[in-house]
Formats: sequence, structure tokens, C-alpha cells
Amino acid sequence: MTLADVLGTALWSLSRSRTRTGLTMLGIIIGVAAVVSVVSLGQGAIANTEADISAMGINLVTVSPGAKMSGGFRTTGVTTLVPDDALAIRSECPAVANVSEGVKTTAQAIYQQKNASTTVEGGSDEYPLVRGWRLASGGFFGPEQVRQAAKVCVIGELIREKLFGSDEPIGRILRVNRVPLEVIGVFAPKGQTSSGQDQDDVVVVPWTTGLRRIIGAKHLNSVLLSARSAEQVPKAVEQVTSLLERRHRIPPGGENDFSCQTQREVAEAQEAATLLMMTLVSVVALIALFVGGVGVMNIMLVSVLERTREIGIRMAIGARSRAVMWQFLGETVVLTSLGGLIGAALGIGVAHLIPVAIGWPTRVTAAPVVVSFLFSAAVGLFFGLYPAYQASKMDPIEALRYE
Amino acid sequence: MSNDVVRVEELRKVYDLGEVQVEALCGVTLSIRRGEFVAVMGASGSGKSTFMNILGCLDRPTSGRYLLEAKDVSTMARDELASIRNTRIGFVFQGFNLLHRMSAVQNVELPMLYGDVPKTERRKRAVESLTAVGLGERQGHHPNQLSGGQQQRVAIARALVNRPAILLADEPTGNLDSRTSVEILELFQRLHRDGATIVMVTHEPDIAEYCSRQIHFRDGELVDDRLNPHVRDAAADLAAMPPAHRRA
Repeated sequence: MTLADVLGTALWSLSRSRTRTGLTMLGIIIGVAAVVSVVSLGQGAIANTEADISAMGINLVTVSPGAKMSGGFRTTGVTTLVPDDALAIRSECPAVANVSEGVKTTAQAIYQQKNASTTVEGGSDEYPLVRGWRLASGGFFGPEQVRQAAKVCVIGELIREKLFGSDEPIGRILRVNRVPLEVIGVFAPKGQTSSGQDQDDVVVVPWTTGLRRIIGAKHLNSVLLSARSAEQVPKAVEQVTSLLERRHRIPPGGENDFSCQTQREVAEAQEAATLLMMTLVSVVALIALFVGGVGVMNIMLVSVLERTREIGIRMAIGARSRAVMWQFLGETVVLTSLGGLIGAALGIGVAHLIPVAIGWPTRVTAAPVVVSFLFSAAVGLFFGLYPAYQASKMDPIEALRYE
Repeated sequence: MSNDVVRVEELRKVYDLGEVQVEALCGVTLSIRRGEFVAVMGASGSGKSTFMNILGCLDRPTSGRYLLEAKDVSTMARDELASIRNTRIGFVFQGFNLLHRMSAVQNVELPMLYGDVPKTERRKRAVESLTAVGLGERQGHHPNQLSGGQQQRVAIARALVNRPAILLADEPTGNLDSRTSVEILELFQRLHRDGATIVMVTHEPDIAEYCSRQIHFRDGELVDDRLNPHVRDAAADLAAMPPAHRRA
């Protein structure tokens, strides 16, 4: 018997009992579809994170007060970062292109009868450059307005929608903590970050305004800066670190009272979390595939018993044990491979449907499709072995007598 | 070199049923020559089924020798026996034993599938074989679309397709009405005239009358072995029979 004969016989036999074939394949189909769609979801999330970094500026470095702690958590209320640090970075670090003092608080923004709880961020005139944000209308504040702590603000799309609706926001006055601020610009919508923070829910003011008029403090929450290029990021971090170590008089080997985090690091932490999640769900899906394989074995054992007489006839006319074994093994492998193929197609379909249906990004790659297809074929080989062995060991005389 | 297709010597088969041992064959010696048409007779339990199973290489004797075409097959391994069954033996059963999910021609192709005959050659020979038994135009029919006699013809075509040394028929007319039985016997006699060696189990003496030699088993022993001086001619009997209801 050639391979073509084995496959031909298997396909022919499976096509004779379509309902059973379909139901038996279901476990495999669902398992493979689950693996393919879950991995596509994970890949989509990772790709989204990558897109986030490029959107937020791949060159972005965040200097925060307090020592770096694992997992992105950090102590709050540390007052070691001051405006002069930002000034020094601006003048002494050649790898740094733009710098923005960072001030951040949560506050109510009120316009006429409407109010919204939002994030108020203070920045320098270079803030849009550092973050890579664009304006939809109006303009941004300049260095003069920063120096004067001007009562102006630039709002995110969500705030515009909440407070102004269809009204023109430019030139209107909104109040934050009783400070009247003139709206001079609106950011173009940016959507959520992959960590779920809405970047359009923001009011940006000059950092001086933020510190003196709104918060009433002297220290910065952060310093945002951008390196001259992506390649310059490590150099910028190095320059900023040694500058601040000097300014803060950190003894060599001592623990820094500030930390630099690149956007790349943020993204990597996020990707690692996504990858872990994806792996866990994939393992569950693979277990489901395995359970599907047990179902296949069960059906094949029934099938072997049912077809005892057929096996007897085949043996009587000269089928060797091995040929009978190949017949049933071939059937199982073709069954699960076919299930894998259908499952992969279904998974790809689901992966294309998810973004439309619930808005989560997905990305279909070849690897999970190929791997889960091969895995399903392997499941067939593994779980087909025992039933096929049972069939091949039958005694032809007994099998012929079987009713 | 003798002209014996089959030569068995002191053939014994003992079934070990745990506490008791049942001797199904107790020392059978006989030869079947090329071109003989032998009827094997005997009551159930006489050992004729065991004898046929050994003859068909489906089973091995406990002791004794079985030479098929001068080759000792009594000690062959399972796979070697399968190969012998495939090429040297053709089986015809009482219940036809066709694969119901396959068409007539696919059924006839089956032995060649296990004999590594190329695909195109398979179809060609299967059609030839079906034509030889008078079913050339029904090759695409499935067994359930064929009458009992036609199904048995398909089975005979399948048994002959690898040109075996011997055709073993186990009650081939057992499931057929009398006219169809004679039709099948007529086919056997035609094959016999063309040189085929046929061994046919039957418990009906009038069926055995169409054979050239009759052997009887009783209690595992060969008790009677004689040539049939008056072989009935199935073709003549058919002509004498009323056309009756024409079967499709």
C-alpha cells in the first residue's frame, strides 16, 4: 500500500460517515481555533504596544523622583526632582533634544454647568514635541506663557466632547480648581494606551501654572525628555543620570533618588505580561486539543469494533497487519489534520472578527497556525496508534464471524 | 514435482480451551491436484471449517504439514500468510463479505491494493474480472443495489482477480435461491473447465453433485474421499429450468 492509497482510503472512509467525522473533529477544531485566535490576540496586543511607543515617541525618556522599583511601581510624594534639574538637563545633556517639566494631578474641570474629573498635566512648550502629540485645532503655549504661568490650557478630545459638545472650545474659559484657564488648543484624538489609560482625557497647562496656581508645590512629578534619535536614547539616559547624580550629590555606589525609564522598558514590561497571558491561555487551549484527541481515540475504538467484519474481510484477502494498522492510523491522522485545518481557518476568521466586534486588535501570524496544525496531526498519530494497533491484531477468522 | 496444488500430511488442530482440549482435526492427509473441483462435506463440528481455515491460510495447524504449490506454509509467519492469501488464494463466502460502502469494482480492486498493483492496472484488471463473471456493466453498483447472485459474482470476481492457485468457497450458495445457486455453480464449472482449482464446502449433497470429487469429514477425520462419476452439468440444468422470474 502506498501513502496515496492510505490517504485515499482514509478520506473515502471518513466521507462515508460525515456526521460522525464532523462531530469527532469538533474537539480538534475548537482547540486549534482557540490557539490560533488567542495567539493572534496576544500578537495584536504586542503590536499595539509597539505602535504605542512609536506614537508616544520611541525616544521618550521619563525621569521620575525616587528609586526605581520593580514592576513599574514607585513611591509617591518624593520631592527630589525640582525645576532646576530640568533646566540643567536642557543645557548640559547634548543627547537630549526636547525637555518638558512634568506636573500631574487629578482635578475637576468645569465649564458652565458641566464638569469632568480629569488628569491635569503641566508641561513646557516642548511638551507636544516630547510626547509626539499633534493638535487638532488652535495652538500650544509658548515659552513666554510658561514663564508667566499663563492661565491657558490645551485639552484632549474627550474633555472637549464632555465639556463643550458641539460648541467651539477655543477661546472659552474653563476652570480647574477655581483657576480660570483659556482653552487655546485641542489635541488630535489618540485613543487608549494598551494599558487602558485614555490619552484624550487630559488638560495640559504650562507647568508653572500647574505648580503655582493649581497644585501649589515646588517639586516636579517628572521630567519628560526626548533623545535626539532612537539610537541616542541610551546615551541620553547616561548623560541625564550622571548629571542628576552630580546635582543630587549621590555618592558613588549610593542609591539614586531618581530613575530614568525609557519607553522601550515600559513596552517590554507590558509585552512580557501579554506574552505570559497568551502562553497561559494557549496552554489551556492545547489541553483542550489534547482532550479532543482523547475523544477521537474513543470514537476510533468504537469504529474499529464496528468494522470488525470489514477488517476480517480485508485480512482474508491479504491485508497484512501493518496495512490494517496504516488504514486506521491514516484515518485518525487525516481526521485530526482536517480538523486542524478547519480549526486554523476558523481561528483566522475569529481573529479577523474580534477587532470588528469588540475592538481588540489582533494579528495573525503563520507560526501558531502551522504549530497547531502540526500538533493536531501529532494528536491524531498519538491517539490513533492504540485503536489502529487493536485493529491490526485482530484474528481474521474471529473477525469474519463477527456480526 | 507433482501436480498437487495442495498437499496436507497428518494435519492436526487442537483448540486449547483452558481445562479441556478440543481436537478439531486429528491427522488428515490428502492431496488436491491442479484443476480439481472438490466438494468438502460434513456436519457442523466435523472439522471441515477448521480444515478450510487452514487451507485458506487463515489459521495454522497444531502439527502436520501443509504444502501449497509445494511450499510449506504451515510454519509461516502472520504477514507471510497474508501475502499467500493475497496472491495464491481466492475466498468466496456464504455471506458474500463484500464491503458495503464500496462499489463492485472497488471491491474487486481491494486485493490488488494489498498486492501493490499500480492504480491504473488495478482498475483495468478489476473490470476484466467483473466482465468474466458477467457483471461488466454493473461495476459502479454498490452491493445493496445488486441481487444476492450478483453480489456472489462480485465476490468471485474479487477472489479471482489476483489469479490465485486455488479458489476456496465456503457454502457459496447457502444464501441463494435454487436457480441462482445453479447459476453460481454453472460459473464455477466454467472456471473449472478453464483450469481453476476449486474447493467448495457444502452440506447439501445435490450441490456436491456438481463437483468432480467429494470428501467427507466426521469428527475431525477424513472418512470418505471419492471421485464423482456422474458430475451434473449446471448449464444443462439451467436450460431445463423454467425461466421463472427474471432477476435484475
